[in-house]
Amino acid sequence: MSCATVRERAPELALGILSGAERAEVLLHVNGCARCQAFVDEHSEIADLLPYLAPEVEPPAGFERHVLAALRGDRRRNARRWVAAVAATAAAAVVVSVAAVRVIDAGRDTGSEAAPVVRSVSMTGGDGHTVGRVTVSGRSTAAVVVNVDYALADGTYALELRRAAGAAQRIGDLSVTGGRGEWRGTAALSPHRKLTLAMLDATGAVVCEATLPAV
Amino acid sequence: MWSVADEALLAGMAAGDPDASSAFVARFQRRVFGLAVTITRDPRVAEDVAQEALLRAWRHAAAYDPRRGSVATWLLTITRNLAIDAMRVRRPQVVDPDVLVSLPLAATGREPAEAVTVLEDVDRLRHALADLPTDQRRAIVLAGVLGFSAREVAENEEIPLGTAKTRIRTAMLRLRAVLVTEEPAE
Repeated sequence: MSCATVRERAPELALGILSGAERAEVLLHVNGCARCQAFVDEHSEIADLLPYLAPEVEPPAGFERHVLAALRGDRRRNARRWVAAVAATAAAAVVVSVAAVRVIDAGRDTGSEAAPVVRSVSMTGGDGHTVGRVTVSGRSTAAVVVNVDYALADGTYALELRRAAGAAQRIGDLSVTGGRGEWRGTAALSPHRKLTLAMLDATGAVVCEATLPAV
Repeated sequence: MWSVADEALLAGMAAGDPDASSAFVARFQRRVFGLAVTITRDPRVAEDVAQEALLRAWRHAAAYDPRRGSVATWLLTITRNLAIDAMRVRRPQVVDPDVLVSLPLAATGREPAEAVTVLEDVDRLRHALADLPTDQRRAIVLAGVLGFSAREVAENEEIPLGTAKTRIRTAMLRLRAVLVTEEPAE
């Protein structure tokens, strides 16, 4: 994408309304072009002010109490998840490469020699550009590996598992440096249901995702 | 720059300090809820959006980068994105964006000094918006505040998609020419 085209798209990028495909292309260019980055930054300064036009409104009674209670609940849930993840990781055998999926010794329940459940799919951003790969081993408590190998901006991205019903489960954070990053951990899955793993930037916008087929 | 106190609250909230959490929520809840209800136009949905925005601020506090903007701006971006997502399945009837441009902005006297600076910037924005042609002003407010995509702007304004994109881009370029190069009045 040329600088001229990027500058044409800069307003929409700054406003956060550029389509996924175009956004990915523009970001790719901007990451390597200081002049275009500065141009986008100037538009972002304006875009950042626009939401302030909305008036302040007192939320309903009890809102503050509910939020603080939710914060306390979130802290307790995160502590339990960490403990469970440590225990599960110690028990699971997770050896999955980016290039190929090897048979994983996990999820055995009957002592049979049936192959364990392993799902590996590409993660796409925008209109199909491959961003990386997600590999899941297991059924209900699965080992998950997420690899990113694309020109995503450096930073920390939240990882969420999303079910068809809309419920989202945050499973961790992935740090990207130089366009690359990896995350390994565990997650509680719903067998027989399709899942989507989404990467979200710090503002909560989805930058890429992968759909795991049901098993 | 203007968010030292805000950053300290965010850090305290992330560290689990209940006083910092309470102060953070109290400081930003009106602005967060205000933006959420402006976009969703449903107080119940807005309440969920606002609560989730504050929770995300806590969850992603470590990812906040002061070089990229103030805490308030970061929080409003989170709020806006959540509200836009909530509206994905139900875009309301035709929206009149001119109401937002005409609303007065006033400091309440409770903000940190740095927040007053932002309000001054927003006041300059409001004046710059008022100088735009009506169709460009409407397009930029629909996109920039309400999160309308170019296609949604086109549908709301009953214009071709290309025209909507041109209005958005031209409006932003004009605002940039005025606001980024203009020095604030003494």
